[in-house]
Amino acid sequence: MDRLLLRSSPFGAETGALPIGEFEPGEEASARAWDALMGEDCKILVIGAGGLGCELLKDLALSGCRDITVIDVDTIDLSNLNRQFLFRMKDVGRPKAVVAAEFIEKRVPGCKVAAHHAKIQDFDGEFYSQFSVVVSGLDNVEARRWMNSMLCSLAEIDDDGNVIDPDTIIPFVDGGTEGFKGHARVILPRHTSCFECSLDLFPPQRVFPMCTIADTPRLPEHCISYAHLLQWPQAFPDKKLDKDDPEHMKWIHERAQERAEQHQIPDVTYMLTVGVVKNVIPAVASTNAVVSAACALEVVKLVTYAGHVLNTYLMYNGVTGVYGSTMALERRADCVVCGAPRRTFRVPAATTLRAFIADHLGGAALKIRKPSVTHPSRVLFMQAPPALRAQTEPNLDLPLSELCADGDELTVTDPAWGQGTALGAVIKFS
Amino acid sequence: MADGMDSNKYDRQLRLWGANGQRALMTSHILLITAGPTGTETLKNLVLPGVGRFTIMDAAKVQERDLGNNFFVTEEHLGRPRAEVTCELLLELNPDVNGDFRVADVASVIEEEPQYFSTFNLVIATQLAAGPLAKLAEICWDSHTPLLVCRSYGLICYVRTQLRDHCIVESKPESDQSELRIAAPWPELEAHCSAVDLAKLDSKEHSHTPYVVLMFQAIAAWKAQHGGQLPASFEEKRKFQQTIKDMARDFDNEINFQEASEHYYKAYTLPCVPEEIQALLAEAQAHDLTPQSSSFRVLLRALADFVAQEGGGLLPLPGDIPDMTSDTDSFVALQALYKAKAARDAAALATHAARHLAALGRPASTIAPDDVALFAKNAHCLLSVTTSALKQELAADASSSAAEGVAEAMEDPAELPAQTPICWYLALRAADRFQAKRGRWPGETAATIALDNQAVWAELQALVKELGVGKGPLGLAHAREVVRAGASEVHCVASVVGGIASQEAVKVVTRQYAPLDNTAVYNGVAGVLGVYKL
Ligand SMILES: [Zn+2]
Repeated sequence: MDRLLLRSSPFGAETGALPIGEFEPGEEASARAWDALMGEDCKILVIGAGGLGCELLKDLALSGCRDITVIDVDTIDLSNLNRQFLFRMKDVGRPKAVVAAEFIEKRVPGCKVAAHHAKIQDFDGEFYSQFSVVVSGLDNVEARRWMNSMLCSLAEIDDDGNVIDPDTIIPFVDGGTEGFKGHARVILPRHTSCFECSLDLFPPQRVFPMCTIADTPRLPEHCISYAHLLQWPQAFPDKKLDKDDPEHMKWIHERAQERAEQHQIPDVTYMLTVGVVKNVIPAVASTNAVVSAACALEVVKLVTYAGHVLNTYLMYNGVTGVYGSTMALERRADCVVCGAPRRTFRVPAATTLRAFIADHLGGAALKIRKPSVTHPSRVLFMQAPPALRAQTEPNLDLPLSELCADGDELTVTDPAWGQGTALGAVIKFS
Repeated sequence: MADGMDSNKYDRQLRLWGANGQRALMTSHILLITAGPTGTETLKNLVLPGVGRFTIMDAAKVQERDLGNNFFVTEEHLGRPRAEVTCELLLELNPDVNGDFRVADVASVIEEEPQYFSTFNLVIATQLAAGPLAKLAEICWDSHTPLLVCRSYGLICYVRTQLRDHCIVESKPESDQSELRIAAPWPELEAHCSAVDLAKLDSKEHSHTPYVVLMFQAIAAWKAQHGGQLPASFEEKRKFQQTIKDMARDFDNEINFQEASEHYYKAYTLPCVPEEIQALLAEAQAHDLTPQSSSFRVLLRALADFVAQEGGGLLPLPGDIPDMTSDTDSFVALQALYKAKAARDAAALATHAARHLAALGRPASTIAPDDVALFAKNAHCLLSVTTSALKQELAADASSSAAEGVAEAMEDPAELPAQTPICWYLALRAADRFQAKRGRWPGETAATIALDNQAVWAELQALVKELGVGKGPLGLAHAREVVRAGASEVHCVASVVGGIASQEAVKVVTRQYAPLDNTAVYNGVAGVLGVYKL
């Protein structure tokens, strides 16, 4: 790394497609690039200490980062060991973040790793604003949405949505894998396409229609879903299925097998049962390595400016040969999280709040699944706490004309986003 | 699970390559040349999933500079052989794996024991200078030993595969591989589909008749009205699609008819032997089998017989059908019909294979029935991969196999043309030429940077001239970036190349999925990946 930070480059960040700063190399620790990476102001946050997280921690530590923080809510499971190389058999059951941090500190002297065995939602904006870059190796869309909206809300903007203070932009680097495929992307909040702008890149999880599961099963998956979704709640109305309990999974497997036999459907196996019920995504060490290292390299360039910043999305596919493609994802002007925070809806005055939520907020365009809605004068509908929900639920079946006036602006929030994000919904009666 | 495989620990990967692949991985022996970060990161991703055995060859001792970029050495190891130390720390990752090391200079082993390399299932050569690499590649080519070349240099890295007659049964393409044969049904399928009288079905049965049956009847009716001809013109195909829609009682609510309308082309598409498979079969027939012939070659020969005889010009039926709207009984009956035909085809293939084995004096049990069935099921996507030889690529004139690939790549520039990964491949070749002439890497010391910039730029221009391609977006800047890096091995870049290489290594030793053919260049300056046939 030394040579790359000490010597000048014809391809510093300032010459790239996202010129975020000028590369200033130099022989001394006083040079900007060197200090930005190895100095004490460089604090990197790694979200997730799983397959990607373990790699990210190693990559960042060996790139010279001295102050790293890692958050992960999980504990180590046996099935992690084929790729999460900071963990050993003896660590099964311990918190991932803690074990990973211990290992890195031991192997890379001088690198400090603070571990939080917690959810990302347990921390607030003040906590997140201390970091230079946030890099995530998550396995789910919801946590990414939340993290993205948190970082977008930290970028200070004026009424037109323009960033006032560039120092409040905390770059968000996101990696993800599925089997032999993966992606690395860079999000400069309120400057480039954010996670919410391109939610469509993540196809919805495959679900089987309930009528197929109940009436016309054809695949082993249908039999497993029948046992999982219909038979278990019937047999154990008071017991929630624990997907990590082998006894529970064995029960599901046996019921699924019975149903499959009855309908002469082949190939219900225990492995498939676990796969369907837990929605297991295949994962291998190699893809994690590619994606994490690409992400970590972007982190290094984002703080040192020692190269062009990825613009903005790199996809990797190793299923048939190797295929890679880099594309600049477009920012959406009407993005709820990073775009204009206000949006106008033209709806008939008789539309109920329930229909408005289902058709306009919950639809494909916005994907606001659990919104709470507030009028400047009072709360119209709140998801939680239960008491407030019960109190406001009757409003769902009232027409909008009874809840607000033409042109009023309602505030919509959703647990998918952090607290700083809200949509201003201007209601115009048509 | 069989073979003492820990199915839980390996659960996430077994969902990709299955017990077959895992068994192949656990019985392979891989040689890693050079235990720098590029090498150890590659090997790490093979030890974790459970490679059977590895050997590390490296002559170096652990130095101060290794501590900064290699995760598998620590301060206490300074001065010890790097092969030994990295072997020890890599073995910690997975108790299932065996590993050993050889403290030796690879260049002398190449000279003195060329046969050594053919004892491995795969050779992974990392950070090897052009001279010894060319010799090693030739040894591997001659002995049919798969070779992966990995290179990491500053912010640039690449992986190169060299494979010769590398056979793959389970190539697992991503596209839909089902073959329904609606336009060319075998007698049982024809009888099954024509026995359904749509007019007599109640509305529930009507909306739950599998689309295979619907399309069979639609195409039969079309042929009856068109002198036995299938729809051919664009116009006719559209019309045919409409006849499917017209068969529905309530198209908007009959999902099975919607599916039939969506897949309408499957009704008139005649099955055939793909061109790539025809080429394989032709080659199999052109060469006599020998007692040493692999199971793959024997089965390929048997497959040619099958196509000419029982198959009537077609490959064995794969036997899987996609899910489709249907009641349970109709779907299960249809599925059983396809599976039974596939089993009959596989049995016929097995008979041919047994005959060939007998002629070679080998028992029929040489090839397990499961392997015959797997071969039959995958007959339409078999692969035999031969990349160009590295020797051809490195030829110093327009006869180089790289010339065409480079020219093509220049036509397809990245967002910023100077960042097209092929430019960086050429820049590294220029650095190699510099190193071969001067015995040192450009930019190794700060004092010569300005001179080295000019020298590498001159090499770069000479190289493209030899290849007979234009300079394109290449410039002095590329030379400057290469010189500035001074052959440094940046951990993240080494880890990218290690990831790509290990993935290809798994694909090669499991003989599953199509491998890289033949070079993937990652440009870490801008985050762009390019894949080229060189
Ligand atoms: Zn956005």
